[in-house]
Amino acid sequence: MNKVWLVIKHEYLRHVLRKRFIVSVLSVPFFILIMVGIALITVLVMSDWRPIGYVDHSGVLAGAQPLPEQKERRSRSVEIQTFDSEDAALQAVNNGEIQAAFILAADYRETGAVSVIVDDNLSDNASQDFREFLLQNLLKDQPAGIQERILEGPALVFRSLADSREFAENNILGLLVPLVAGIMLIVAINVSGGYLLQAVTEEKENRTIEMVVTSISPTQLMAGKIFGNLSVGLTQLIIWALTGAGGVALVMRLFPEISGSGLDLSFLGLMLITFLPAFVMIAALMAMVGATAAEARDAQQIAGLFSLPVVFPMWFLMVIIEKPNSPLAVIMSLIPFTSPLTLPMRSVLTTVPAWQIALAIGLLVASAAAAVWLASRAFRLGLLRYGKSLSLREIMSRAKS
Amino acid sequence: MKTSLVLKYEFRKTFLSRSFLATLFLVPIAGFAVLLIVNNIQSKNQASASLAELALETAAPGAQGFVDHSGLITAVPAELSDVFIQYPDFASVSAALEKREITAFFIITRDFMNSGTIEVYRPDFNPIGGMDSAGNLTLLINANLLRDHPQVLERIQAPDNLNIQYLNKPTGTGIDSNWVLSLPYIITILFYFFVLGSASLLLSSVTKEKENRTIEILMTSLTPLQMLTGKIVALGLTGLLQTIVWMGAGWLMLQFTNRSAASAQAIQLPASILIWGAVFFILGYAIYASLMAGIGALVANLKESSTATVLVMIPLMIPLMLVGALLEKPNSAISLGLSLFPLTSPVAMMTRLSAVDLPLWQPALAVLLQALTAVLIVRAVAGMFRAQNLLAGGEFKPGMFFRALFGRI
Repeated sequence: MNKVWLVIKHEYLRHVLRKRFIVSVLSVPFFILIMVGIALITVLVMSDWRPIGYVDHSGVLAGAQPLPEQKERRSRSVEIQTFDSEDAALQAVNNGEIQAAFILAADYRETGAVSVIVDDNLSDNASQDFREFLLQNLLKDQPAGIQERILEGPALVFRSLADSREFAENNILGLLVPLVAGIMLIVAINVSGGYLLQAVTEEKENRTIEMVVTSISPTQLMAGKIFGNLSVGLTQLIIWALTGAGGVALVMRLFPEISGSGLDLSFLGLMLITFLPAFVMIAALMAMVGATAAEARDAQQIAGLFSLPVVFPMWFLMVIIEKPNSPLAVIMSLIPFTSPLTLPMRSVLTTVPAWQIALAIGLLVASAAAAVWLASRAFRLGLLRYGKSLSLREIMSRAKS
Repeated sequence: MKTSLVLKYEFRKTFLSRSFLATLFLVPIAGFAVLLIVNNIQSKNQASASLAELALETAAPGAQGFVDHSGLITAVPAELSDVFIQYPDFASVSAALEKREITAFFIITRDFMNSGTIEVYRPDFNPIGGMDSAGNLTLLINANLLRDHPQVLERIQAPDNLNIQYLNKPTGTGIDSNWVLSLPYIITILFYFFVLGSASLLLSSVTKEKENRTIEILMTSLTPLQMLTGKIVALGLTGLLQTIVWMGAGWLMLQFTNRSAASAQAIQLPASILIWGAVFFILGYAIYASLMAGIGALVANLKESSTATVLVMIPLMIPLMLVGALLEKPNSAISLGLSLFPLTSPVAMMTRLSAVDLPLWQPALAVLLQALTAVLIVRAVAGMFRAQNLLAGGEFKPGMFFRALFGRI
């Protein structure tokens, strides 16, 4: 036991104290920042804040009220000017004074026909603002209460019949948190899997394995390596989770309106239960690949085949979110590779039957155990073998010996 | 001559390795297997259902119940009479749900006029899927709020039938807009597979000679440029092969599932786009592959390369994230900049080329810049191969990478 502990300590400290580890820990927040930056740039490029103009032949906009100060979502709206004739409006578009001229036909009330003259592109924010302006003036003769109700629309609150869960329409965080946690899991699995892939071949490549196995059994060495590298990945995951929790708390404080009815944290337990065996399973598979492959290059290619299915649910994210009880989502939450991402996501959005949770976790634990067994087998057989890769059949057939 | 030796050796070595062949064929075979199973189930169930429908199959949308505590709803509009059924109280509506007479129900709260709150109860919870009914619900509410003003109601539903007139519309290329929208994604994915696939091979092949300490011996009879060119071309060819096989398999699968998707075949890209595409693809590969090789030359072993790889791949992702801006405003400064900058131009320029007609000088300039960059980087990376970098067992540092790239080491 003491020896396993030594291996764990060695593998753990070797990675955690390196600059590379710090870089990879920082890389995820860095990526998120870049994404946010690019999203902001896109919004900036796509929006046009020049005023817009309108010519009203229908009388709907006579004595029009301007748009109220925007209190929610967007902080800005474009200025809306009125023009007496189409020619004047056209002139203004040509001079670049306004970005678009909206012309309401005389029969607007009946047909809703509006023509727009723009230079080369009608920006989304301008057409949105004009639509709001129209709505508001169409309703200006209605009582204030009715106006407000129609302009704001109903606010849906989803309640579960089975338990006391609630999900407000504007609860973005409730969806984002399991999603981000899932992405972090993928990254952490890849990172520690990558370490493991190399770790098992390292002593082989620098020809020290013969010496190492004189004082430690292969199983001990393998166990030490797996847990050592797993802890590296876990350390990373914990640092991210803490930062993430801090970030969420900060965002909730800055924008209290998006937190909606509060964050439902019940999925966290499920996440923990699915993540741990998945983590062990992938790590052991990676170690097995590392131990069987003759060269690091081969190992990397094959390892890609294991980490790919973990990302699979991301491709079908929309399906899982919109139809959490569709056969595809159910199947994906049962397969050990895809369940760590799918199951917690579904549990946020729907009531997952208990048998599915039990089956998924059972399958995960069983495959994790099988993977560890296979890996230690492969490691033992491939330990002193150079330049020749180990076949799966060999691992299985000599398992009894 | 020596270059071709390296090329032949690398190509044969990679191509004949079991792991390469396995990934080459296993991925499409796995795809086909899944397809076959799904198709099998499908033909047993219902002949006409498509793959997507089968995967998504859920209960058919039925009527939904509602309880009005606010006293607002006096009548359900005729067009919604199949959709909504009114119930007097919570007990009766939940009983109806139990009996599956309705698929979900809404409670319009007592202070709805002030708060706008409507509670939604669905047997499977499913808040995102439940948003679908928001449109009908809004119509129900608005119809009752404006029951005395049918014309206003009609206008509220469709306030602006826009007829857009452009003074200076950028002339389009006439390519189907669906294609234009998906082209940047297709190019990026192709590029991603191709560059990452062959570049990671390159990375490991460059580090391999270093790790087994044969690089010093090789360097006595080969120049770094020869070795690098040989490796880049050889692994580029294997990467190309892999991409073609996977794409071909994907195309076949598409044919197999979507027999009716004749439209996919009907859309043809003009030859000029394909030619530009090929040129940008090759040059882009040369740039990214040699950057990867440069990293390979600097890292002590393969383990250290993964962080560095990410650094190089970032520019490839940027145009994809800005694809909206590229398509909406293809002639803005940022679009022009992205499509001329060598690291982003393959994706950005191809996107713009398919969306609008561009003056010839723009793609030509982009190609020229790319070719220049490719040559410079290949030369700089060859410089990195010089003995001192190869011998050192030090860690990868981004600073060193850039200094070496500019020939300062």
